[in-house]
Amino acid sequence: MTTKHVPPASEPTEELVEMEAMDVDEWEKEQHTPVATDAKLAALVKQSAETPPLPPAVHKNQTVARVVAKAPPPTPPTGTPREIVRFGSPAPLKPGDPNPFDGPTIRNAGAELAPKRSDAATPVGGAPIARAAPRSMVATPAGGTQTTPSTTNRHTTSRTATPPAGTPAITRTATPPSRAATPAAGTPTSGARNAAAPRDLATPAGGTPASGRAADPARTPPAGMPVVSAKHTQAIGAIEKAPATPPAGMPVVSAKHTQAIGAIDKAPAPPRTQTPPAGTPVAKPTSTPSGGVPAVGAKHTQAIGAIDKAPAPPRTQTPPAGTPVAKPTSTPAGGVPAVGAKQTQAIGAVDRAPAPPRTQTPPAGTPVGKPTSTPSGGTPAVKAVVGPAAESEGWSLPDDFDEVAAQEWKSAPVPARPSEPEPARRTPAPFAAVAAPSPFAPEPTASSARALPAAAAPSPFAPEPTASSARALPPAAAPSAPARHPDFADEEPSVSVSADLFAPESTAAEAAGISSPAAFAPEPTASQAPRPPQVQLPTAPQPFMTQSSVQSHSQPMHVVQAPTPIARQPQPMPMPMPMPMPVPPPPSAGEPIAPSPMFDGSQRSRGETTDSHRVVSGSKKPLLIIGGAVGAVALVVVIALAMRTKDAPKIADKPAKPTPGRVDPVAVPPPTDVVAVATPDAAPEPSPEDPIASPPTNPRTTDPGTTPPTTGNPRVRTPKTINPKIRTNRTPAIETGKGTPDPVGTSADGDKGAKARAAYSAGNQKLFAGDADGAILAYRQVIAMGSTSGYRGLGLAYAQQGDTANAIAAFKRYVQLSPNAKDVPLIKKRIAALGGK
Amino acid sequence: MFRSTLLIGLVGCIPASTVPPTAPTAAKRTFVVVPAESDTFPLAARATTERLRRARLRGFNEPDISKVSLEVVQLSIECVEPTVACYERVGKELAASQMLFAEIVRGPKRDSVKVTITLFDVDAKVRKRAVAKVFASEDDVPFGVADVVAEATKP
Repeated sequence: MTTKHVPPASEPTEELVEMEAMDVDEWEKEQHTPVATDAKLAALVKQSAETPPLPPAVHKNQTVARVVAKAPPPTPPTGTPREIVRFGSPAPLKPGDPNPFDGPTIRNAGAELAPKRSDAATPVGGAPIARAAPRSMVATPAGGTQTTPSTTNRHTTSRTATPPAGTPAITRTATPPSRAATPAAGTPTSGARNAAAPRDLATPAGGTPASGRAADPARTPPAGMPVVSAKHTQAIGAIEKAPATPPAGMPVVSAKHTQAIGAIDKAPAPPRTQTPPAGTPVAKPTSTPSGGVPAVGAKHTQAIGAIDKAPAPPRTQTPPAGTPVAKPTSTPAGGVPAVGAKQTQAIGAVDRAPAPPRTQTPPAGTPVGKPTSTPSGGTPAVKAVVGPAAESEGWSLPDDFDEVAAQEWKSAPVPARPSEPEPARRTPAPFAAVAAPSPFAPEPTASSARALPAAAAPSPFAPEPTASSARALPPAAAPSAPARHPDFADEEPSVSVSADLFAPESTAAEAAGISSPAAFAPEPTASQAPRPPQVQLPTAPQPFMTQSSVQSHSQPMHVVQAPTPIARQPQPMPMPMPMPMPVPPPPSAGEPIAPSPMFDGSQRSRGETTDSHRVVSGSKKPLLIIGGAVGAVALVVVIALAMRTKDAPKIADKPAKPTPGRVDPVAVPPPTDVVAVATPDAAPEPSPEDPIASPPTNPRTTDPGTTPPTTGNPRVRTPKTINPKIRTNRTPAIETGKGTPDPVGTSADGDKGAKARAAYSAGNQKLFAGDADGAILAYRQVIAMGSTSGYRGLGLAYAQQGDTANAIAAFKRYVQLSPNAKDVPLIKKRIAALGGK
Repeated sequence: MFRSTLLIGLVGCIPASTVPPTAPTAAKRTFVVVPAESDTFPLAARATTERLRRARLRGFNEPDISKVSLEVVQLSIECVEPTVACYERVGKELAASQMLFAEIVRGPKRDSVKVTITLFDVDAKVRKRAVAKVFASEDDVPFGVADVVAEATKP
């Protein structure tokens, strides 16, 4: 709607910005003053007349300098009684009454609770009642004694001595929210109760509106009015105590009482983690001070403060030996129930005391007891220490415990003294049962070793008892399991050992009168008394037997089960017998048996039959041997017969009829007339300088054994083995007319040609079987017979051997001799592949 | 003693006399693999031979690997034509009933290689299966010849 007004040309040029422009008529229509009727005005006046004037604005940030410059404190009239402490019986709290300590504080107070500026205006009565000025304002009262609040409590004094600048001193004075109750004039008010009283006493007698303006000097109540606000100011705040001079006869709240409450309020809160002892009043002034008695709560507070200030024992540090736990160092004097303080400190100490380690033994002499709960009746915490120091003296386990125990055992030959009182020399049951290896047992001494019962003394880890020690063991003590020490009757060992794993001390067995010497029985000695029949068989020492005695609540049944008489008796191993053998009858009773020591040292007769030494009758043994031999022979015979029957049909079927389409292998007779085949007319005579045809020239194929003799030797060694996989049924002659014509057959005629083909076929077989040397030899024979095919085969054999040069030369020779063969292209290709050309 | 020995001897003779005559066993059927050989494509030939060695044929044991190639056999028997007759002769020379061999030749394209795997039944004188595959290059043969062999030997 903002438009730019364009002035007419006649008007001076001025740029105006119009907003919500209205025309002249509209402007003129609304041009009038506010219309107010007379009735409304009258009502307004009436309403404003009834409404009390609002308090002046509160200046919170009031500086001290400004206040001091404006208003010096007025001089109270001389002769005015001050500090008239008159405590009356406080009005009982009603169920609906608010908590007197729930009053607004400076923190949560509103603007109306802010401290008023006291301009040192003298009230009408002549006595300023309250001043909410800081303490600095009243530092120099003119011509009058100042009532200092330090007359009651030093704690309060110390706190009020340094109020912060601008600290509002009035707390409840300006908050009289309720006007309902109007106490009678002159009703004394007590501090503790009047802390919450302003609501009820907001309107004093006479109808003077004192609420919210009690501190206002302009509204000072007249004489005779109870100065409630001033009292409460002091009572609650306890920070400032203005040199108020109440008029004569005006009850003024006791400063002491106020300070006492204040002290309570400002007392350090008790630690939450601490539980005060029963009956200790902690910041709860339920007891109303009467008769000007200083607040008990202050002392209680002090006691609590002592708790706070008491140095807490370090939690992770064990108090030194003999140090009483949390002994109160200072006892508040003056009727303070020291018991409470002690209790509190004791409790705190107990709470802060570190838990006793479960596996660690505290030092000797340290009163370690169960951290009982709050001691009742003021019992010192020290009383809670359980267990005498003497009994816990040996709770530490030395490192060389086993050795020490052994030495102690050996060095304790002194017999038991029966005259000695039993409880004194008897080890408590758990420790006695533990004897040596228990980690919690006291260090075994000579006396304890002597007093050890027989059941606990010998252990698998302990040395064997000597004669003296064995003598010291009374037979009656063998049943072991002495009664538990009364001091440790209700205490369980901290180490829990499974009772099922270890043999315990016998309790039921003891009750039943069963002696259990086997588990702990010492080794038999010469001087030992005859043992009961149960222990005639020495039992094997069971491991961990002594450790099991740690458990004082072990099961008694183990003791009964422990002495197994078959401990050392070897278990008869069931030997599987193949066949029952007759056992010779035992010798007659009258026949003397000559005992002979067996391998295990036992005395057994030679004819005695045992599981491991079974005597076999000698008459049957040769029979078994013969039978076995005959069986073996029979087996051989059977095998031989089976092989004969197996070969018989094979031989019979051989000449029957060949399988059609399949050529069975036929044994090729070795060419005995190789020399005849390798005649010069059958094949071109290899020249002596031909490396292919002359085998001796080839170093790789030179074999004196296989070198075919050129002349003079009619016999040529033939190959001995023939690869069975390679069918050797091939004859040198080409049976199929479809194949390539055999150059060997063409080159050889008659029997020579057949022999050459046979040799060539043998060479192929060797070549296919991987026998390149044999193939070369065969091919040489073919060449010697005058066939050119031998050079081809010889080239292939050399190529398979890797002799490229000879392979190429043989191939070239073949191509040279048979240039029209079908396989010449392939041969030339191979020559090229071998790098010949 | 004599009696027991006689008894045992008689007992031992019983099985020998009761052994039934064994029936004539059938001829062993042999599966022979002929290694591939190629001077032009040695890598392809080597890869193909490796795969042929792993070939298995249903109803036969592990193949017998021939010591020589097909061409060597053909040259040796002087039957170099790629015909059934020549293959039959080759098979018989190798004493094989089933023969598996490969032929590696140049492909239709440049650098291409054609690999042909043939399963030849020597007894039936029939080429049972022939699978050929052209590879783009020789380097591709090792990665694909296995499929060709598997295809040729699958039942």
